Amino acid sequence: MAKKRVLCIEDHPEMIELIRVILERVGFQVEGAVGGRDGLKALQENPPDLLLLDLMMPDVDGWEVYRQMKADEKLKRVPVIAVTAKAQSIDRVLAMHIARMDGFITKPFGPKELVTSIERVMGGLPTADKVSGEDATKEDDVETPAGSPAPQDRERVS
Amino acid sequence: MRDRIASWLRRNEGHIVPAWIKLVRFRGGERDRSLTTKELERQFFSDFYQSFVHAVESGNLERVGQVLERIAAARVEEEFQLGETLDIFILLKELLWERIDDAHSPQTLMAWRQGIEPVFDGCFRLLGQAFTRASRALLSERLIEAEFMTRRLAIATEEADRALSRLRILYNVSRAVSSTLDQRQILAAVAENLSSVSQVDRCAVWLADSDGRELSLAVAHGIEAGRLHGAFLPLEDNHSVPVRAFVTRKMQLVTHIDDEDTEMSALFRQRMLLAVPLPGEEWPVGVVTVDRLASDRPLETAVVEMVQSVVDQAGVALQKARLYEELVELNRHLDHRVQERTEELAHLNRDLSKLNKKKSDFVAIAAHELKTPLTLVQGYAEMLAESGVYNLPPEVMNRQVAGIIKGVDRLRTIVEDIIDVSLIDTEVLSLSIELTSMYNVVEMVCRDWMEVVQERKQRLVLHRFDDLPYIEGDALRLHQVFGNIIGNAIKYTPDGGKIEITARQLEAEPGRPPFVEVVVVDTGVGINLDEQDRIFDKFYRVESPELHSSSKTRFMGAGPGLGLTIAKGIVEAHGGRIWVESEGHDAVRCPGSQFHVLLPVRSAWGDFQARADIGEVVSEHVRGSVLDDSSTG
Repeated sequence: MAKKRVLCIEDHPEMIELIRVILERVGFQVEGAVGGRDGLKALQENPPDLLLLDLMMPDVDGWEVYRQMKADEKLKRVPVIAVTAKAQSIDRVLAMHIARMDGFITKPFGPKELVTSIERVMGGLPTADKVSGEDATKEDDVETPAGSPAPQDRERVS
Repeated sequence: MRDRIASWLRRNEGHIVPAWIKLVRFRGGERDRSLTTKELERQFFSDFYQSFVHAVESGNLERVGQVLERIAAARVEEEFQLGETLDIFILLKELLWERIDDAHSPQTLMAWRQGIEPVFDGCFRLLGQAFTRASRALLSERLIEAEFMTRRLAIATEEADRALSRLRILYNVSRAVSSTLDQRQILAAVAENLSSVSQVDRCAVWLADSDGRELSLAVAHGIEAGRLHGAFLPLEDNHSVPVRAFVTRKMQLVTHIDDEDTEMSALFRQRMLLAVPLPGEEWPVGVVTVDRLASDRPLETAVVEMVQSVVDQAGVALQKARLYEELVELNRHLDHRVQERTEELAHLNRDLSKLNKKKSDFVAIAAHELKTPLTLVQGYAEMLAESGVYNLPPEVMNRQVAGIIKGVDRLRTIVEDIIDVSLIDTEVLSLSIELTSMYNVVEMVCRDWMEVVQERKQRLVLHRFDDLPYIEGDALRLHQVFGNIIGNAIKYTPDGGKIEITARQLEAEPGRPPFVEVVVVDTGVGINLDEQDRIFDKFYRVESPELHSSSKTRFMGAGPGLGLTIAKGIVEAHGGRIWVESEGHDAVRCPGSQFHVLLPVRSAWGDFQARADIGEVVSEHVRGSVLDDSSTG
């Protein structure tokens, strides 16, 4: 089975580097794109299994990337987890309930939080036996939109 | 018969004597108490009655006549109670005839009658004449007196009339000035009422100017009042009667205006002029003049007094009015001030909330900027902790430790930048000034960046300018300035581009120390005109630098956007200027940008002065060429 591909759109290359280190350890293949513009390009060239999207970027911000993605038939089913340094609850509400993103994680975050979020959205990890036992505690950081089907029930793009 | 008459007379003493006494005692209309009744009786008998009785007893008619005539003459001479003396004579005559009728033969009777009658007639005539004369004298005297009284009455009436009219004027003025707090109205009431006084033709009110140089006409009323319009009386003019009244604070009354004084004679020709100072709080506030066209006869004292009293009253009313006006003015002023203050406060409030917004934006952005490196540190550290340091292959451990160090570096840079911006914002950035070679500073910065430049395949060209004067500056801070500017140029210049640094000396005014200008020219993407000021604002970024940078320098590009803000703060703290010139932003054509840094050779100048001077040089410079080749080496 091919590794699940995670695309990380971020304006800080070292963040991509960190996420790569974290996720490769649990069996994902991580690709990075610096900035929204490059991110959109990368999305269209090769739609990933999951998108980690930084909302605050100077060129094209995460909201715009998300909007264009949802308008694209090919990309609109890719699950999206927002990654942002903005911790205000309004951003969370916007992301989860208005934009109906699949997950929301705030900086700074630890490797476990990231992994748990992804597990929530993907319905398990490629090497779930290693981390699943420890991760059930961090539910706060991963929300599912009210009234929408659980992420596990969604059709996954593989 | 003689005896009988005499005895009758003696018998009738009881009637005659009291009548006589009464007569004498009320002589002159007043009861004369100096003589007793007895004395009066004795006087009567000795003076008059005795001689009369003796004359009658003697039977000598001629003698009786003589006595009667003597008595009458005495009475007439004294002109005393002639009427009553006449009555006594009539009584005497009747009594005499009555007794004679009874006792005598017709012949005797006739003889007596023929003898006495003419005497009585004579006496009567004499008394009558005297009476008439006296009465006439009395009458004429009374007439004169009456006439005199009439005239006095007329005069009194006239006086009363005038007094009444004065009172009426006083009352009018009093009512007018107490019913208003308007100074103009008070003065108008004074002028109008005083000009209607019977002996006055015209009244004018003059007020002292605020600078105390002259009295100028406030209001005039009466005959030829228009002649005075716009008139003023310089206070230096000692000859002027109103000025004298004003200066001496004493009423002045003149009846003849000096013809030689042209101004005065033009205003008050040949007239009676009364000038009364208009009292103020301490000094008079003006003068009221009252004058007369027709006559130069002085005014009646009563009129003068009335004018004085009207003016005094007006003075008090004016003072009241002034106080009221001041109060109103104060109120208005207060209102105005309150409004002004409110506006100021509202303005301040807006500024403060703007500032507050900026502050919270700053905090939010700063926090946001800090969170990314914090995530790096946390991520690598947790992974290290999870795996256990000794269980990791060295290369994995090294990678993770390098990640932590990178995050910490970045955290430090951001924290330092934020501190610098705070220092600049609060104007507490302190410089350690020393003689500094700008060339050395810039050269050192270029060395710092050389590795990156080479990696980006850019060219960094530094023209020598070590011949320029050393400046008074903080070498470390200036290093920071050019580090940020040159780093910025590298970031926004595509791979293979060029960054060129030149400098020159700019002269200020003659005798003033010159400036050193350093210009950093790149072949980057350029900056739009409307953004050329804003790039020095906090957290401002023109566009993502990632577009034109290779992966390694992307890290450098993703700063918090404080570099130029700090550069500007440091340059301005030196009394210098920083600005950018660029045709505009074009990522394809790359028109480039030129960063200019102008620093005074002597930073110790008064800040304000220095800034003003720099302003001139800068505008001159902007008009001229951007780069001066001759100064580059």
